[in-house]
Amino acid sequence: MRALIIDDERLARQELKSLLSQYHEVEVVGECNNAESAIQKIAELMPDLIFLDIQMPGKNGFELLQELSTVPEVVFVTAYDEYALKAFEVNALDYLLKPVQQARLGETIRKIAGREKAVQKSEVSVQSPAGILHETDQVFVKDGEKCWFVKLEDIRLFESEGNYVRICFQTHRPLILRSLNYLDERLDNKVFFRASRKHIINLRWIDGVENWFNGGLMVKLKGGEQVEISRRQASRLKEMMSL
Amino acid sequence: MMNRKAIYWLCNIGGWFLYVLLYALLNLNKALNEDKKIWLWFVIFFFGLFFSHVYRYLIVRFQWLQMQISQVIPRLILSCLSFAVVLAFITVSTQVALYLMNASPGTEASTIALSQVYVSTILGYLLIFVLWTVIYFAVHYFLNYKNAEIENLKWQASITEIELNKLKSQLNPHFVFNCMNSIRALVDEEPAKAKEAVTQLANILRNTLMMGRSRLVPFGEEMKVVKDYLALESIRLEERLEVSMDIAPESNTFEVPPLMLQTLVENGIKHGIARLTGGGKLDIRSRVEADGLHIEIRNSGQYKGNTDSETGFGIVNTLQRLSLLYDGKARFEIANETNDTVITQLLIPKL
Repeated sequence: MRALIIDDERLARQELKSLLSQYHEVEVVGECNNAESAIQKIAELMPDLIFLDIQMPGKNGFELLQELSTVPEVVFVTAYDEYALKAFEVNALDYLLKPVQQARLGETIRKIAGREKAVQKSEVSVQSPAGILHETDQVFVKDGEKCWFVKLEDIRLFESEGNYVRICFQTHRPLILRSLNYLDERLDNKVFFRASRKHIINLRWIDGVENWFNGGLMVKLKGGEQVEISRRQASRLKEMMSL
Repeated sequence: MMNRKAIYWLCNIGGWFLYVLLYALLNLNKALNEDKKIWLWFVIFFFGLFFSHVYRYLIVRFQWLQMQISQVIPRLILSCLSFAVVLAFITVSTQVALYLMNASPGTEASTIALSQVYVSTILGYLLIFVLWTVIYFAVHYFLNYKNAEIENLKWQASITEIELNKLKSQLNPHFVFNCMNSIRALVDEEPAKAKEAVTQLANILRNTLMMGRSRLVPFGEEMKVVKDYLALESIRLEERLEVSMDIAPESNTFEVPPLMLQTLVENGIKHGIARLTGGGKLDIRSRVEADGLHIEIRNSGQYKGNTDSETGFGIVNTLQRLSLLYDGKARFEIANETNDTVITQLLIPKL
């Protein structure tokens, strides 16, 4: 796994690097001392894993994650930040407390390495063109006080709401600051279908399709949402589904 | 609840009415006609009420309720005595006047032993006024008792809160754990510096834990803690923290509240310099003037008022401590000096 360390303190990065040197499965490919440079480095190096400090000058760790269109595996490394960590759902994240314990770090790395392997096996070997968001990619979502890492495959529906897009997964419906057109361009169109001006649906979550007025369709998703599809898009959908 | 003024008037009027009623029923004055007696009763009632009200005015005006017992007792005795004498003079005069009006031409005023009447009347009124005083003070103490208890509890709670705030603001866990993490890295890189850092951290922790023990410490001692703290922050922030100091030598012996300067310096770093990607400068100056010790802290950054609950917390805590110790004579202010410099000014008066 290729890892990037993001922390504003040189000694903290140094310390983590020396701890990580014991694990051959992790290769530290770079370090950053602030969020701005980290965003560039992530785009450039495409690491599998980032070690991220939450409190940093300029943008903090959460703000950094919100700016990424796809988020690698994230391990938070923080001195003491009960409040920030409480924002996450139980078990939804890996975090290490400073000073970092070697044993705890080992556990975290094993867990992530296990997850990575599972992903790689299921992935089709065909390389998708750069910049396309794959089903197994995850996004970071912060809605008010709550935070999630959401795999794209778990998202049933993207619904445009002004400058924001509401995403539906499990029982949650938070907003993210993205335009629907941007997502439409980036999302894998084999799985994500632009149903209308306001909606993108995940084809794997379709529960049933009914004929609707004027040759349109009404798609019912497994979460209970219903999305109307215009006649033009309906013919495209039929084409895709029959293939 | 009935208001206090209403209670007072009810008791005062009721009391004098009862007294006059008793006086009338016992029929102590056989020398006067029934229709003349009514006048006498009216005079007693009116002047009794009047003088007791003047008495109450004195008690309220000169805050006798707040005085110590040894101070208030002579005042009360003197007032009771004077009111009794004056009231006795008025009522006896009235009696005499009514008697003379009533008297048939043969009788003489001199047949009544006036002096004897005076003494007994004065003693009677003295008893009434003493009784009045006892009731008045008893009612007040009873009504104030509950309020005093609530006030006392509130005061206790605020003291406890300040103590707690002191501890909370001092033991900044973020700083402590970050520090330990940096020291871990230093152990490999620069063992000598790591050793020094451990000592500095120990000093800060010790000072924090002992803080409640002394109310004031010499400024020189406080500066030692601040220097240890800054040394540790320099390890973490490295070239991002630039420190300068200008401490007048005579300020070193000046007594200051412990860890107050440290809190303010820490605020300047935590909310100012540490938030700047490129880091910043911290400058501490002190000088002694006639009104006390002047301390100025300048740090890079921008002060945005009390929007941040954590900054607000440190400021509130400092203000509370200063008002508790110096009772409004200390001064404390945070402001933006320029667009990118925050100035914290502190004036500690001589105790």
